[in-house]
Amino acid sequence: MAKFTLNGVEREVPDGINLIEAALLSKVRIPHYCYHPGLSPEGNCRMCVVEIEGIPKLQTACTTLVADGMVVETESEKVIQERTEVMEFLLRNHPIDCPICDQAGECGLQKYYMEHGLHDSRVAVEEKILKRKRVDLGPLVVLDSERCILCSRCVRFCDEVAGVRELVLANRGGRSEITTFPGRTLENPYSGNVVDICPVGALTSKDFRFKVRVWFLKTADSICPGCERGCNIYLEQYQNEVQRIRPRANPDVNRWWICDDGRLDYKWINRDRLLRAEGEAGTHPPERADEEAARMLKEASSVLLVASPRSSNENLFALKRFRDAALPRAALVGGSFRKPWEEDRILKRPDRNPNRKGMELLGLSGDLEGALRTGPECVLVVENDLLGDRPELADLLRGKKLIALASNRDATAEAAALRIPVCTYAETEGSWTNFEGRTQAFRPVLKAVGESRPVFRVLEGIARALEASLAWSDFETLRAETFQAAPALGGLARTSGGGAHAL
Amino acid sequence: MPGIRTVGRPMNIKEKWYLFEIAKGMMVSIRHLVSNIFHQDRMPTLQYPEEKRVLPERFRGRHRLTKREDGTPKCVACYCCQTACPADCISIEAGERPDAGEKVAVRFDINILRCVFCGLCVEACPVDAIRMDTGKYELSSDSRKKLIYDIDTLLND
Amino acid sequence: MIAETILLKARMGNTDSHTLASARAAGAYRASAKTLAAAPEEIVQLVKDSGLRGRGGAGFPTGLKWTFLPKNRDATYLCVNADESEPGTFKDRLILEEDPHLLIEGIVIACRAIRCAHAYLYIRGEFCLPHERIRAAADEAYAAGLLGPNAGGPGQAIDLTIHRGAGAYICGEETALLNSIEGKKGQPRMKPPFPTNVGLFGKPTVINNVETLANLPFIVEKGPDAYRAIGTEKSPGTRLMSVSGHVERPGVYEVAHGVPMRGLIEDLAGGVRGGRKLKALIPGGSSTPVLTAEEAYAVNVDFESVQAAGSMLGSGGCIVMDETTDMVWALDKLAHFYAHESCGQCTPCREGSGWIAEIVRKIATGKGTRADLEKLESLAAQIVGNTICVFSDALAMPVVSHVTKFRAEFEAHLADRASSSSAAP
Repeated sequence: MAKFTLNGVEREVPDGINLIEAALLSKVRIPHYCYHPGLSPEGNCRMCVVEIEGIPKLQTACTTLVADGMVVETESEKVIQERTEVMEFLLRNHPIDCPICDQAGECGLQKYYMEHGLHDSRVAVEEKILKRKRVDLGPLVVLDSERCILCSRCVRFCDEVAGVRELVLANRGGRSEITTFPGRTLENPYSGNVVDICPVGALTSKDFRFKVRVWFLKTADSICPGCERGCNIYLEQYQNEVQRIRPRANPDVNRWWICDDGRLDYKWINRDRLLRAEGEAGTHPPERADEEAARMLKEASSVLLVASPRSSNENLFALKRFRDAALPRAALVGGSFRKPWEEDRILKRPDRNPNRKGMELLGLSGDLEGALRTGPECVLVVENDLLGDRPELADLLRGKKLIALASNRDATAEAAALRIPVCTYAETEGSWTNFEGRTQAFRPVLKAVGESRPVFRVLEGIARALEASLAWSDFETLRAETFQAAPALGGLARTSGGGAHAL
Repeated sequence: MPGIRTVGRPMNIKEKWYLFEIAKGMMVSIRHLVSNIFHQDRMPTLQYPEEKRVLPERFRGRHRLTKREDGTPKCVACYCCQTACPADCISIEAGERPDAGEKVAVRFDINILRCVFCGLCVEACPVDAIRMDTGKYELSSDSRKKLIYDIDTLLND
Repeated sequence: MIAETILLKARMGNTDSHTLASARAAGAYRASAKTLAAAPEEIVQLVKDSGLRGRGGAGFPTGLKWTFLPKNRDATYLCVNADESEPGTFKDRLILEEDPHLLIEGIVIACRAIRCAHAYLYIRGEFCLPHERIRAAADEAYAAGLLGPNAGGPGQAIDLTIHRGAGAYICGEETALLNSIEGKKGQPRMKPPFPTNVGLFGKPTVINNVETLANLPFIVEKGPDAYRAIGTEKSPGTRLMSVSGHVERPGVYEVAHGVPMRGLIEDLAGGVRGGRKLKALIPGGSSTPVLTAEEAYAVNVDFESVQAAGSMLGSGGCIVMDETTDMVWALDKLAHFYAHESCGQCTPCREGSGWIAEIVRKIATGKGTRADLEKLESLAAQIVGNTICVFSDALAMPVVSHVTKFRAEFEAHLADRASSSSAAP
């Protein structure tokens, strides 16, 4: 540990950290642009300068490691003066793009100008240097060189985290620009992260371009369902539709990053939703649908319940209890035919389901294909697109009574005799256990779309129609029972409140 | 109630009769009636719709979207007006513009039923794209749908 | 009447002075041969005793710099800074063109002193003839065993790699030079750590200027006392002064430290051309503050007296300007040089240099206002003190000195000069 004095107060912090982190531990924010905890420090923006006793020149906090006995001032007159000057220099050539720039509302220059600048402009618009705008860097990212403050975070990200040589700082001096190496594009599978770490609107997402202003968005902490890594994310919605996904910092799981596939994997939440229950006779209101399902299940001589590694722990537990209470002779197996990805050494895991481990720990894994081949008369599929993942199963499932609890009109739902809409992970509470056994909770950001209900509520309804008793007063009760029944899940892991390290 | 002393004053015979008080009040109306008969030009009433009030210079009437030289809307879809509007009546969708401006409004709806005509949208706009200087206030219609003005109406009507 | 004191230029002037044969005949490599028998610490002590100061611009005592190397080190590099891009300086190219073996001998001595097995010569990309000559000389030295596997003694190699730059003034900054050799963008590194601890490829490194190393053969052969006998106490030895501008005979003159500047200009360089009067003089390359004629003729050619006058002897690039010079035009040229050469890494210099250059251009073309002049002064103060390297200081010094000492000329260029006066109410 090192004892140092910060703004007149003595603090004790771990050794070997830089002054920005040391100050953050004492809840003092030192403004910065080029520093990012996930990248090597550079010290070129000059915004994080602080005054250290005994050193006449101001030092950059990001490159200075804390030492015993150091005396640091972050709000002295000299430091405040310096910050204003740096803001003036950064804004000198910056275009007046705020009305058309997507970064407005989460922009580093806007934020620090209000906190540390507030100077009058001494530059006429005609004097500003003109550079390339609206440059297509790759499939996901657009560059605007005029807005760039040359902090080089994006270059360092590609070099150090993504491990590719795609971006580089070209030219020199005031004509410096970010660009791709000749013949290359910004197309690595993590390219979207440069949009998050760019403090200004120089790098923006093509997917999010001009969609909505960020201050209209409502945010919820969630988990990406793309694979069993369980990267922490923010889901952001406007008018009850998910508009974008951003990574949420978690030093133990995904640090500050998500892959591009996970970033873009939200459109299905808004589209092709199953809005009401539909059977052979037409659409049904919820109770009718539950009764219809109960009838089909009761009449069948053999029933198979199919669980999914995409379902939350709580929904899987509810399915178990449903079988025990309402259909004790039914078979219950969980599995997925989703083709695995190629694993990379950064974040992507091969299994493309978020809760394979949770399903295992709840004792639901098994030979799904074998179970299907035993020829059950009625199959209740919960959140599992069997036919979409493996179309060859169509032969196997022909002639069976298929009941699908699905959020979207996927292949399995369309082939089902009865389809009942359920909520996606964006509309309901739940938890998934990642491949390391870390159980992480996700929170809803949308109100339930159409007549969809959480899976466990649908199961309650069907159970009621089967005259079995199955009811939870609220979600918290269900969660508590789930963790009690399966202590191996370990309880909820802390998904850090570290934020996305927005400046 | 403690601390308050009500002082009553009993009514005299004239007030008790009350007809006298009624007459006093009626005199105000009768005075106006007589004055209007003999001095019609001094009446504050306008014979609308033949006579219309002369509007002040900064009267806030129906909105209009201003145009650039090439006829496209000046609006850059910055959403400042939608954010500033206290009545939540503006709804914008942005789109790409091929020239240097980059951003333009593709859909710009104002729900006049919600609008309180405060003018904050005009103040908020950084590019003078919306104004309320049309002087139009005769906006009644026979359907709610027609009172949601779209970008064409706001640009060209 | 002063004359040149010839020490470094001893062998120059003949058509074949750059060849090994000619150099050897005139005494080259005698000194480095002596060092083969000496211990490295002895050589370092010799150089320390001589008081030799760096000739690249900063004037840091060379022997002292060598002692900053860590005692227990597994490798040491020597980088020779032949990037010579400081406007007004052209003395290193003289050594490279006319007596490259003087430099190579200096490199060998330095490598022996700091136990370096591999030296890098970073030569400015625009140098054609100097590069040809030094390359040829290096080949000759290798052939003669003066460089190579046993050049420092049996089994002790001294290798020399010649690395060409590609046209960046900033690569003359020592850490940017290191980055450039490593194949990275030529941008300066943060200091600390200093190159003597973490330098080329992360190893302890000494960076010395060409002229500095060229002094080593004399010091080793004749001894530190003989070196100290020349020059002044604080600035021993001779100096290659590159005199250019409005003089009759521009060129490189070697003078002992301490001779009057007036003597250098009038006696050696033939005086201001056409018999005109001196107006201003930049003593040590464009990054040093300009001196008025009075100030210039009051100083001597040494570190201390120029410093006392508020400027620096720097790299010895002496630019003479006569009475026909428009100082605003001169500053315009300088400011645009710096704006062009800024590496762009840190905010104040990157934005400030371009901004300052634009404002000076505005004033020079008669479009500037009083507000612009004030802005210029405040910006020059703003860019200093918060950057990774001292490039911004190098820009600020000419700006501040020009505006302060020749303010009347700047005000005469202002568009709104009629309505305002310098003595504001």
